[in-house]
Amino acid sequence: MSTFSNLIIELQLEIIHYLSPRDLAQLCCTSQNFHLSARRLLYRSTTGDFNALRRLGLEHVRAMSEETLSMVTTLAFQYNVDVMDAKEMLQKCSRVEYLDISEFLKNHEIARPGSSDISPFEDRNPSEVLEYLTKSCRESFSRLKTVRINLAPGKVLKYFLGHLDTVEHVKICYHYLMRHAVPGNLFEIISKTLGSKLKSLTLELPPFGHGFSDLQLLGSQEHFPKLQSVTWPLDFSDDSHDFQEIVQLCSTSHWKFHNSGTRGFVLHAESLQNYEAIPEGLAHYVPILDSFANAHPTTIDVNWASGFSGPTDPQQRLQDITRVKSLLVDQLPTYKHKRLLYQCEEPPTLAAAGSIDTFNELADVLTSLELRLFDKKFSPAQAPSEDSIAKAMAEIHRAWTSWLVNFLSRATNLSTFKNWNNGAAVFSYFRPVHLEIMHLASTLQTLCQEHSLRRLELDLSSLPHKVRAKPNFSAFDPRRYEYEVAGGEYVRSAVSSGVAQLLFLTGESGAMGNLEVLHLRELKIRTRGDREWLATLPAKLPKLREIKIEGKYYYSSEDEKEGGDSLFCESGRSGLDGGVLTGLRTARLTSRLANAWDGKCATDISGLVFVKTVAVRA
Amino acid sequence: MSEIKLLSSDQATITVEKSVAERSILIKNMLEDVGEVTEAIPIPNVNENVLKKVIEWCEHHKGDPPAQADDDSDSRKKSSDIDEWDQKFMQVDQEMLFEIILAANYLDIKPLLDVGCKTVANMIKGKSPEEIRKTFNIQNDFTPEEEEQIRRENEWAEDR
Repeated sequence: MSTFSNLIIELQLEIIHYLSPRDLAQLCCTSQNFHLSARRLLYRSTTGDFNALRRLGLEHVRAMSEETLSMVTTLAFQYNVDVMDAKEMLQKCSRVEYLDISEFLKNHEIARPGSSDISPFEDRNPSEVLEYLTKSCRESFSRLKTVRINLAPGKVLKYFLGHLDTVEHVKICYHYLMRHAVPGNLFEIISKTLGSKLKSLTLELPPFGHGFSDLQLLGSQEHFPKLQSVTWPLDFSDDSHDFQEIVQLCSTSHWKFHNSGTRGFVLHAESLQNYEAIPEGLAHYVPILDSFANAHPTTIDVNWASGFSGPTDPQQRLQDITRVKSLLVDQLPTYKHKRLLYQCEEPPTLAAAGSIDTFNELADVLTSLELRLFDKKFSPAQAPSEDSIAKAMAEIHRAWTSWLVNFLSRATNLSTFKNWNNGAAVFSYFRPVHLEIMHLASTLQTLCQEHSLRRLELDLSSLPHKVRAKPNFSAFDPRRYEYEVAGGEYVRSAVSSGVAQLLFLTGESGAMGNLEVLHLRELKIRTRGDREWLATLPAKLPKLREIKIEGKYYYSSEDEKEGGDSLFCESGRSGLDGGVLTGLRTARLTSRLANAWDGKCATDISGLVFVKTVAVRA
Repeated sequence: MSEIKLLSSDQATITVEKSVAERSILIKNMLEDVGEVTEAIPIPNVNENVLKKVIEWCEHHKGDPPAQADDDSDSRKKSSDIDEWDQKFMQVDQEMLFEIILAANYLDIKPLLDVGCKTVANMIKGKSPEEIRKTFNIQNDFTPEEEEQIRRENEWAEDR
């Protein structure tokens, strides 16, 4: 017989979403079954009742003993902390070494007088807040080693930094709301306040534009005698003067420069002509740029997306790719990292004559290819009807498949292949462009078996989950597409999951046997077959030394009932927090995969979310 | 107008219009997988009485627009927007109500699941812990000390 408890175990989140904080509080008290989930929702409540949560948080801090608080060495105020509470916490935590007040200041930026946003907290602006905290908590600053702070108006920043006698590391973060507060003389302020002590400086935005000035001061050993490390995301404006100045500073200063950009330095094809005036030639700088970021060598970005920022004129596109070819093939004949980021909505087969030949020359030398697929944009004139859009998309899809297979088969020096699906399709005049692994499978297998391909990074987000229905290119929502295209023809298929695409790659034993690194994003593991595929990967990819999976792992109540070494067996663990359970499941699966690879493969599946699907009653 | 047969957990065969049955995403996907089917589709987790109620709901709502994708936002949802027909439909004993909700979840009929969950949420609203326990026959497994501690922790929400 069904009982409320049975129901609530299956569906409590669906039900308690409808309850107010008051009702949730009552439900928390009824039994252990409801306590944890109701409480979690209660505390996450986004009813606007931040003050109540804040009071509660502060009460917890107040209840802690002085001894406990004196052990706190890291203090990061979050967005919703009130200035009076921040002051109280700072005063109590007298041994703090790391202080992060950037999120906290963002809130006060939003709450400043005159802002259209209504804040639940205060009416003070960030400058006043910073000044107030500095005045009232000077003693608590006495042990600080590191501070992370937003850019603030020069006078206030100088006042704040001037009271930090022991700080050696400064992290300056940036928030668009505070853009008006960027002090042009930031480096002068830092040099006059902390300059003699500073060991490291991190900027979370590149120090040009945004009102930055006097960058060269940072290179002065006289002003920053102890500075050892400077970090920012390496990027450049299109100005070759900026470019030379920054590269010069970063490569000759007394400190070491670290590029915090996650993808290495990107040279934009459409900007290459701006660098032609550099006497040494751009090729001189490419190895220097690489020295700043060992893991992510320089990439050249060819933007072929006419609907976005790329050039719309086919001749201009051809000029761009010709410049890229000239740099990589002619000017850098011995350079090892020839990486191309091709951002596109359509292949070069649909562009100016000569594009294909130029791309083919590039294919011969490329070591890394990243494809980032943009949605195709149609203007009303280009697409008078839904039928014509569907027809044009089918044409683009066919052109993609045939060009890419031909291009890849020439890329015998390729060691890395990566795709990004950038489909946003937020407007009805966009249609998503898909890359289907199944079409490339045999080419990629040949590159792996007979040539240098060792690393695959695949984003499966716009792959069909169910490969069975005809494509509906005239439909608006790309996430609902369910289709399969083979040889330019639309066919039905019995295969039914995102993993299906990967089966084409890894299906045959040894087909990708030389692969060393595999990253999969947006993988959906839905069926028993999908799980079996995952379990048999170690046998198919024996040389793999790194695997990273992000996506969803669907399971049912049936899975939970499995005993023994089930991922989902939670007997004796009732009442565990959902986050803890996910952690346990991730750990179990990681451990199984690591064992299957005999410990030779680094396994990261922390981005895999376990999702419960159909409920089956006991 | 094509019809299909459904086989309940207690082996009863129920004939239903295909378009009505396809309110269930589970059945819809199953039909797509197998194509034309003449034999009854087994619904092993739902008995005849409950299946009939679910079909009754699907028939009434067969002209409704398809359900929207899940809204992942954290904002609290409203339980007051249940239409009159659905309110009457849900006026059944507790066991049947819970069976309908579980069936809606199993058969993947999101709008019916929502109506069911809203109905249960309305049964919780405004009640004290003891009243909630009584309504749903829940056993209190807290010690008095634990219950008092939880009550204190959540006191701030009492007047919300």
